[in-house]
Amino acid sequence: MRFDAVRLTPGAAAGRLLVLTEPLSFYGGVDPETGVIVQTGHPRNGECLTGRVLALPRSTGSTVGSWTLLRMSRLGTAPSAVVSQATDAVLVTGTLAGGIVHLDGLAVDPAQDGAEATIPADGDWIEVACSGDDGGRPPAGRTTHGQAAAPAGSIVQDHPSIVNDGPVIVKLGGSLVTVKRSPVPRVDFDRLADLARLLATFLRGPAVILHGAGSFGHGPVARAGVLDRPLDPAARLDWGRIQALQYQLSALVCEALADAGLPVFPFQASALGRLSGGRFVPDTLEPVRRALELGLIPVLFGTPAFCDEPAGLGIASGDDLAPALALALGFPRVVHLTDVAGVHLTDPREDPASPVIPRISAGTVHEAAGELTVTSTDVTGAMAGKVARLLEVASHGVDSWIVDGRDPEAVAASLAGFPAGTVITR
Amino acid sequence: MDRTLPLSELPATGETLAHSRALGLLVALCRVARTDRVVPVASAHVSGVSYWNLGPAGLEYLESLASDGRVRVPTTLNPCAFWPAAPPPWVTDGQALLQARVLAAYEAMGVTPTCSCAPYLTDPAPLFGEHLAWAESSAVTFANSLLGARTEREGGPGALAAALCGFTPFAGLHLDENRRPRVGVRVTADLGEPWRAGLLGAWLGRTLGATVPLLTLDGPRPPGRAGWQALSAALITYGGAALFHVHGHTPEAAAFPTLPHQFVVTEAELDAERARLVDLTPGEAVQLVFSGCPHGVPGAPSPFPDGAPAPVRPWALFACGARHRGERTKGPPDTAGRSLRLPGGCPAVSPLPEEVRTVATDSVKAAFYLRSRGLRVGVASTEVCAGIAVTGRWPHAV
Repeated sequence: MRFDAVRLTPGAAAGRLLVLTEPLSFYGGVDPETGVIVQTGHPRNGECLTGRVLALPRSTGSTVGSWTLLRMSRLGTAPSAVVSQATDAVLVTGTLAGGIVHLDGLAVDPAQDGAEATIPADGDWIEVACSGDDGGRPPAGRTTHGQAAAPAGSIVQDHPSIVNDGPVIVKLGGSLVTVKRSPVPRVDFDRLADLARLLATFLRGPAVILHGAGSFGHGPVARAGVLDRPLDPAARLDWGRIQALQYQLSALVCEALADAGLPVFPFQASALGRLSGGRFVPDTLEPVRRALELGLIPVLFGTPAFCDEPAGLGIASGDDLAPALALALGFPRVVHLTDVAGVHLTDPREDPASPVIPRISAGTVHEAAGELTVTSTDVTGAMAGKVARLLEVASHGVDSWIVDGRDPEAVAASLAGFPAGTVITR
Repeated sequence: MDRTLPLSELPATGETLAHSRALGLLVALCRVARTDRVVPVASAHVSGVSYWNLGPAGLEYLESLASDGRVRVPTTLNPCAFWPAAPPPWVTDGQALLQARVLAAYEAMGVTPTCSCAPYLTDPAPLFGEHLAWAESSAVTFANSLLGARTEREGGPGALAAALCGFTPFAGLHLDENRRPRVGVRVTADLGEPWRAGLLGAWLGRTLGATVPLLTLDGPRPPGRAGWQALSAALITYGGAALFHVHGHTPEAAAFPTLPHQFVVTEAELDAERARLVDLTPGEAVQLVFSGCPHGVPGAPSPFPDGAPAPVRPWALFACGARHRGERTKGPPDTAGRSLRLPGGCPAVSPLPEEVRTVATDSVKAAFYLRSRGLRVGVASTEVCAGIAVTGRWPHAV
């Protein structure tokens, strides 16, 4: 089997694969005289690197590690090649100085440990002899830490057959873009950047992006207690501050999406519609349509909004906006990126082995409904209510995906229209 | 003006073998950083000077580059373990010779042996917006934050390759989008003493990770020059970004919109941070006291009292920039008994007297590195450290 990677140092190499699942510190973790791993607590402690094709996630530890590799090369104890998932400067400096073949951007499946591998002189790939264990299971997921210059052959090429480029609404869960348990509003920039890169890679057609409020919403709303208070002068101040906080979150989210190359354009939902009977009802989506026509990606977010009856203020969450916009704009698909793998049969926090229900439709819901459990502290987006609402829009022809936004393969599949996580359909 | 170059416009090989090897490393580092452009740099600052960091293979690498490699941009050097012409008493001649060979290799390449981790004090400081290839993490943070220059946190060989070629991968903090602050922090603690600013750096690094902060100082006193150095050094040592912005103090801060204050740092946070950095118990014997991390201006006075040799006294080491450019002295370092100056040296990367197990220091960064060498440490103000240099005991109340 052939696996593509990014070539960092020149040359050809061959040898038996040694696949490490834990990072290795070359300085102090490898004895340069013998080439043996001596890192305390390392699962492969005692293995000899000499002549092997060493696959590892990354290196850790002191920058002096470069010189350990050079020394091993001089002493003839070096590995014949290094295949890293995400290298750092320390590792590549060592392989380059020591003349060791080095490929990057590839996570090798630990099941291939011990298989014979070859790297051709100028190829950007590694050829692994089939060990015949599982009939060619693909290797573990590729890393996508690069931006546009991601390694040749990213996940896109793993799903070459159909790419669904129809319009889609993507909702980023508040628990993905913010540190949800944080007592103060706090953006999870690392997760957000990962998500932005995934969306930039896999979003093909017209799209609207929504995001939840996470620690920018639930904490401040609960602390101010605005939902349970009359609209007195103090409450007005609190509502205004909460609303302003959502602008700040959206500015940061949009900035991250734009950095990844997505042409985003933020809108503020309470200016486009109102809450009626607890549901978001758009008054005019004309500006959103115009943005879509110009090739922009409108971004909306959960926000305080005005209620019809009784007149006042309420919360229009991202989960309220998603189906409302899908129906009003005629978008046939909504992808909810969350921090769970889908709708579980029972609460996954109590039963980690609880299976994900792959498909929920009006016909099957009665089986699931009894078991559907609320899995979140979310004041607006609890899972059971979410599913009920999504089933309702499914009856109008809008299919919804609930997938784990931290799982690149699930995100890729759901955006391309393949089954992933839980699909809620008519 | 965009002065960046695509990799495709670079020559395939350099004029000398050393330049070819440097070019190869820079191309590989561009691939690691997933960029296909390089940017010319105004200066380079190279780390990897202590023989005890390099080892025999590192020395061999440097000496082979030095056979025909010459730097193309002004290049300064990080501290060595000790100034080889003036070694401290516990160092052998053989050790001094190895350190001298490292310095000679760098000098042969045209690197100025400033041997300071504060090149912005020994040489003309970088200008706002200049691109640099600097390797010393505290200097990188200082140059990015206080001076508004732009540098990634280079590795030693990467910075040397940039010095030889005159450019560096165009990635990370060279790009506008990675310099924006992401979290607002209000600081009400007093930062007048440098070590308190260092504690703030450690708190920020541990709490925020690599998120670039925008600080608002609401305390009685802002840091002085030494305080900004201590803050820069501690921030990146404890896992933080190589860049921070401060309203009214750093040049880029005004370019960004204000962020909500998601954190407030009071004296209590700094005191808790200090408690994490004290392994010593009150009254415990201290065998070494260290000040001067990061280096101050060359020739700055030591805070430690001179005095007659007293066997109960701990070693008191003060590191500072080397006298450089023809000012080099032969003979022993400025010394009086056990109070030593280490011009151009750094105890964190140097052999230490064998009996040393406990260290007191006013540097939050040094505490991290000395601890990682298995020593038990205590962080206190410079004044308290000067007292410990006399009493030899970790005090009961600090």
